[in-house]
Amino acid sequence: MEKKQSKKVLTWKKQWYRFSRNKMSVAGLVIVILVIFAAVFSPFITPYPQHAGAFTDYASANMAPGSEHLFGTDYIGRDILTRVIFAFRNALKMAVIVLVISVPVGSVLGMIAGIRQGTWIDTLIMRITDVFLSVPSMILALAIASILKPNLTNAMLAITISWWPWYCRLAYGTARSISRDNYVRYAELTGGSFVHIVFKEILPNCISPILTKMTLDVGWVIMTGASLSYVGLGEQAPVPALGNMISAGIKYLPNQWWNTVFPAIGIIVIILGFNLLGDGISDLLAVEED
Amino acid sequence: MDKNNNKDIILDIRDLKKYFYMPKGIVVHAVEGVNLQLKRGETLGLVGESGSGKSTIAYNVIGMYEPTSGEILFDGEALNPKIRKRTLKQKGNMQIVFQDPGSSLNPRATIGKNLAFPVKLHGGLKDKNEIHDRINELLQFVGLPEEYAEKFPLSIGGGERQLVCIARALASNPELIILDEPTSALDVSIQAKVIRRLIDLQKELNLSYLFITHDLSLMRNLATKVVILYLGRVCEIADTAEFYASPLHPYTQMLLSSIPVVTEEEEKLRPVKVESRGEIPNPADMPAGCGFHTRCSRCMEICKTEHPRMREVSPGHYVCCHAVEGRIVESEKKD
Amino acid sequence: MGSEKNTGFEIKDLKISFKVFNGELKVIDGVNIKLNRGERMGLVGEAGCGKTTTLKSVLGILPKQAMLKSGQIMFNGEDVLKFNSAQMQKFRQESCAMVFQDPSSALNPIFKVKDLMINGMRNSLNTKDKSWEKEAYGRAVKALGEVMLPDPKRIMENYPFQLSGGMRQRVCIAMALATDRHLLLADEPTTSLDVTIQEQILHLIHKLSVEKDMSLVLVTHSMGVIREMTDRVSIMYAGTIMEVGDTKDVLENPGHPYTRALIDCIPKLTGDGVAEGIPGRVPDYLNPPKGCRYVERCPKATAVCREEKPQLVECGPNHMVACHNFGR
Repeated sequence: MEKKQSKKVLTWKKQWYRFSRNKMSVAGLVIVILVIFAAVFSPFITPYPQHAGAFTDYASANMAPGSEHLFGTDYIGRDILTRVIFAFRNALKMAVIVLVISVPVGSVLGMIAGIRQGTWIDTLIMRITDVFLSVPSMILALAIASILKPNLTNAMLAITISWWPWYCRLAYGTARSISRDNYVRYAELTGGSFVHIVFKEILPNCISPILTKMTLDVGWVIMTGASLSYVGLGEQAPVPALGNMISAGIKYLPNQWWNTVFPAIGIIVIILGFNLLGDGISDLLAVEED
Repeated sequence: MDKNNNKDIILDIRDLKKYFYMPKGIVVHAVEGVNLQLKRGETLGLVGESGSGKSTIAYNVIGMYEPTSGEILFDGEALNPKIRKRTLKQKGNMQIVFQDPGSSLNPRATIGKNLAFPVKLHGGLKDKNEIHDRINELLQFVGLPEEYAEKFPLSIGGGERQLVCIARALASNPELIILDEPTSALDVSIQAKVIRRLIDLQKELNLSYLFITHDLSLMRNLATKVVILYLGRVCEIADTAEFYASPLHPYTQMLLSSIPVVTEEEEKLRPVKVESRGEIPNPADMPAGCGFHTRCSRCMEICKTEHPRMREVSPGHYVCCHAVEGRIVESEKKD
Repeated sequence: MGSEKNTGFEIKDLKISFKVFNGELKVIDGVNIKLNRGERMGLVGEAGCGKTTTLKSVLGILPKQAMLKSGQIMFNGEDVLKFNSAQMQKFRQESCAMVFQDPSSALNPIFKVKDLMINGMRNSLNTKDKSWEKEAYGRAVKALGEVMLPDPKRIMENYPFQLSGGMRQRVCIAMALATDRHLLLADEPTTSLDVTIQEQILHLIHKLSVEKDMSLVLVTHSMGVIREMTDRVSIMYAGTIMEVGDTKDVLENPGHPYTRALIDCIPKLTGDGVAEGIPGRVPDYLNPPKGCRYVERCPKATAVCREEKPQLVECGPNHMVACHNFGR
């Protein structure tokens, strides 16, 4: 028992070593942890949690960043730091929901097409994917969101629809190359069922690239969500979102620059953090020979 | 063929042809009419350079490819060319060990899990302890300690991985194992270990091997019968002792004389130095006549136009060569 | 450089470690190799014995994690390990060439053979002269002819993937030899090729090294290849040299148990059956044995073998062996 325990500790140590060899991925991890922490505990750590919603305090409107309001206040006196942190919360919520739906759908479809390559299933799935991929995902999401009612749910729906084909493509390529590996051939030759081959042989070996892309995509989904809300198709005021904060603040440029600059920095930080972390995760998940 | 003889033959390949149809109307003649028979408990060595069709034959037998024409009989029973139409028992009776031990095992599953799959599928075992015992038994067969079940394929050496592959092949109690260059990626010291294990297992479990290799010195120590392939056709077949004592086909002689050997005694066994020249032609663009005539030192006019027939030069020793045939005809005339 | 004749090439007490998460892998532990100009030396051992690492250290192409602990690599009286990057570049372009195991990954598939070869000569020719490309082309064609490739001018217009494995390896050799070199490092140049092609390539390397008075270090795991190709051989095990001597002598009278075992493992044409193989595997480089590194696999190991690292001692004319049991 004790031996097993220490072995586990050793593997963790080793994994950490592999991850931390690249200092940038450690930086990414730190940023992501801070962002997630801020998002989860935003009601407790923000200085003015009540400013997250519809709140007006014209007396302290348009204050420049200072000791009382670190990031300054907006045109109706709400603390921008508070609102940026609450916007993180909304942005992360959206990213998680979008990815939780689009990743499994896309990957399973892609894997099936990849294993059954050359058959009608492959053609059907991959041609539909191609149609979706032929339009840039941002424009597709904009198009879908603009038909629907402008609210958060529909924005997430729009992004999800434009996002799954990427996972389909990724899983397709990975599954295709794995299905040429000898262990999959062996499973087929010795009589393994389709379900066994998909879930026991191919899926575990597809997870690494999918997980890596997922991490990278958190940033991009947030970016797309911010774009939608910037043009008024996502989260509606007074709920804080990075996009609508920027679009609302743009009128006050350049004098009250803090209205736009801080939410924009927020987007940059999130994307940067998840991208750096994604690199680290891909190092970590690579199968390495000892 | 009398009935008794038939029962002995576990694998019978009859006039197997496999063509690959490529874009632009190119047809690759990978296997061009091969007849082979493997007796129970024996080892048939398929030897040839890359592009000779040796692996293609094996993949047709195991069901990875569908033959273009010809029949494959296992235990006197014709096998369906489509793998999905074969019965589970047929699939279990015949197993394969691939060349590259790196990609033969699922890298994300432990060795135990890799072995558990065929154990459950073919052994019909459900109970966890039974499966565990069977896995240990299989590891024991190949001489690996029980702890290996907990390890991951990439954390063990290439030779050990190949032993695990052999253990996995044994899980379904097969009668025939196809060994597709199982040791060509390994060091000689490891190769010796794996080969020893294979020889012991063959005796213990009365296995038949279809052994594919390019290593003629290895075949000398392992095979009952050696088959030389060139461009999808058989050049020469003979029992091992006979084969090495009097290799007749010019290609066989070229192969033998190009083996780098380590001792004086071996050097004496090599045929008179035949300098190897040229490369194996592209199977999509086969030369007319005998496929080997472009590299042959004894090439005659007839070789360029007509493919030689297979001829039995002594009991069990077949050669497919105009030059050899000519010599035999001559000596028959003298008699 | 060519004026100092017969200075040869020498690796002195080379020690290299690799940094990993829980310590250092002491992979190369005191390698000594010496060869004279025009001599052909074989380097044999199992996979993971540091053969390739040794060659890479000569060309300065070790991975980032590698740490040089000690040693000198002397070439024509200069220490290669002390070269700065410009000198190293010069050394690689003018003096030393390497041929790799896998000819397909050694050639960039997006360039024609012509471009690959001419580019390779860019630095060794006077590029200020406008006609240099013409000269390079001429030399390339000549080099391709020297490696017995039929119709060199056609091959020059081909992409690497249009060539067979044997032809690609010939192109690699031609690239290495298009300009005059004094030292050729060949890392298993024929392992991925068929026997008949292997014979042709080996024959070619041998011929060129004799004609051009070029030293050769040939890394391989095949004793047969060593026997056909080299004058001297070093048997390497776990980053140390176990035995060194004239090839014929070493193969016939191996002094080290490891050499003996390696030779026994080779399946023979005489058909005497298959040996047991060598038990165990290459030691853990994280905590290698304190004494002889072969101790865990050696049937003759004694207490002293565990404690003390054996040194290379003379055991015959021109024949050294590192084993405590020798002469006992």
